[in-house]
Amino acid sequence: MVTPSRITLARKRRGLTLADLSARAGVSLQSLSNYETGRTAPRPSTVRRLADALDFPERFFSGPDIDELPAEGISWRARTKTPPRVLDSARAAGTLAAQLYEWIDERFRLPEPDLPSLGKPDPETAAEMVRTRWGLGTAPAPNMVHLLEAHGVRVFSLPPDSLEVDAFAVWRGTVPFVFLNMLKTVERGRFDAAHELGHLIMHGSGERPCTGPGAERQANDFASAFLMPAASVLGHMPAGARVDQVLEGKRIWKVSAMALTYRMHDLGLLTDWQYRSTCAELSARGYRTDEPQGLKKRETSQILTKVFQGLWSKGIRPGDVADQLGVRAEEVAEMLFGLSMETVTGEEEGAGEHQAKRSLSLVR
Amino acid sequence: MTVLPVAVPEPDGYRTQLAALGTKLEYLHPALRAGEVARRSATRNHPANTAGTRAYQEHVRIIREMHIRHEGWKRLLHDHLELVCNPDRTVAFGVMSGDGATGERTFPPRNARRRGAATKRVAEDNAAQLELFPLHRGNEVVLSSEEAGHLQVWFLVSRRIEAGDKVYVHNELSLPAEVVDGYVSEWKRRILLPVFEMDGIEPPHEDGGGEIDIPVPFR
Repeated sequence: MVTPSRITLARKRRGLTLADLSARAGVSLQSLSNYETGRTAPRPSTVRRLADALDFPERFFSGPDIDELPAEGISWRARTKTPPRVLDSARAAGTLAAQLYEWIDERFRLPEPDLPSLGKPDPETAAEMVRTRWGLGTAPAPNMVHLLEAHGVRVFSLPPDSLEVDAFAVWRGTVPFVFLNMLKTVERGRFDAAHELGHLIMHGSGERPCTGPGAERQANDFASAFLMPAASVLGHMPAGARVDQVLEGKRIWKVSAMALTYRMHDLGLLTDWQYRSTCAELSARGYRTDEPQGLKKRETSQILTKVFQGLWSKGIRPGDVADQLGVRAEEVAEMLFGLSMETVTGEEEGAGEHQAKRSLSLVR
Repeated sequence: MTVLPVAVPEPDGYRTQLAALGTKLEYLHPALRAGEVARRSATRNHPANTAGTRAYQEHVRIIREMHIRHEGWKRLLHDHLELVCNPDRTVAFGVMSGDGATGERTFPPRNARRRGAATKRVAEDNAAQLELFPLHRGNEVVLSSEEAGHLQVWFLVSRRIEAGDKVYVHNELSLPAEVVDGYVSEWKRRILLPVFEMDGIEPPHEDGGGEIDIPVPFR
């Protein structure tokens, strides 16, 4: 028996319209539409054609109904021009990751969600309150992925075909999810993680809208304040700092040079004129889009690493997990921060970096 | 956070003297800062004089921009000197790097690098002028043939000293009176300005960014 919602999910995951899939699988548009609405069921030979066209194992389509991630509650960190098709694909990838999470949650005890819901305070205050609650004081933030995971956020990586999406976050019931793009600089990855944390905390209760320019600005201000607490920046950075001092200072908080420059202006350490000239200089040196000589070690999931190590010790291979979820092994691998299936077999820390690179080479 | 006014002793009341020339410290120090920033864009693979050249170029650009934008001055290329000139055409500013005496009350500074004939000529004109403040001649119509003779060409003389992570730029706005063999040997007037400081970074001492260990036990 075929589950209609699974056809839709697989199609969205591949970024296909009904017409695309109809052409690709050689199934009429009308029939396809009927399969997805559940009005009629496809024959086994048709299921095979759909599975081939969608590059999903046949058994995927016969699993139980899947709850898609709620479309409304998602705060996208992506260009406003990003086509809905791309967002749908990323959301479908998130839905599959949530399936993986449920599978893991049945077998492992994971940290309980510990995020305050701060619908009212301004971003700077909200960031300070979270820091206090998590006992961070004004010290530079540690590994952001680990920090989120330790407080109950389920963090997964976005598949490489969702490049146009930087990150997104969503509450699924009482469980917060964050999805991060793997191809940004390490510094920007940290900022994205803090940005999504801001959404979860400030926009989760529905008191404020979670999308739109206002919400994005609030999340950016939150990330800026969370990663670079005012007291810390004012304590370490000189007023009117030169570009080379910004480049040195950004290492303290592990942020991009642009982010620190913005923060310093925000805190009055750079005048408007100094801010503009610093931005121009950084831009000329390539810091607007990249982070020359930036951090090399990508922040990856600690929970997923430990989960797959634990499974391996019991003789359960990543491929087995993918089998049970009814998806290809690659589909699962893409959610795991490029911790390739071999990496999660046993090697401890440190494997993340070059493995991340290796899996990046698989892309496209 | 409120900013409290702090009383800083002003050497020779430089603010009044600058105001008499139609300028202020807020126009001059940004030029020094821009010079410092530009200086640092030079890498080891650039030609040896790159840092100094870039600093000079920014000094000229910013000192011009500030006076053009805020005081209605005009860019002036006078006898090969890159200057900015007030609307009365009585005062012009250029830049120059000085030696260790820059900004020091006790000794007159010399320019760090030999200057050309144009500097010598403006110094002679500076010296020949009566001790008149240009502001007093504000409404006077000055004839252009004599204008050059009346034009006072002041220089923002700067000398940078690196100490650890900090940079101190000693500086003054001064009017050369005599140039001998390419070096200013006598100043008609000097307005000593506060040292322009660029602080270093305070290194962190917190144990931030520590490792987090998340237990992930089987159920």
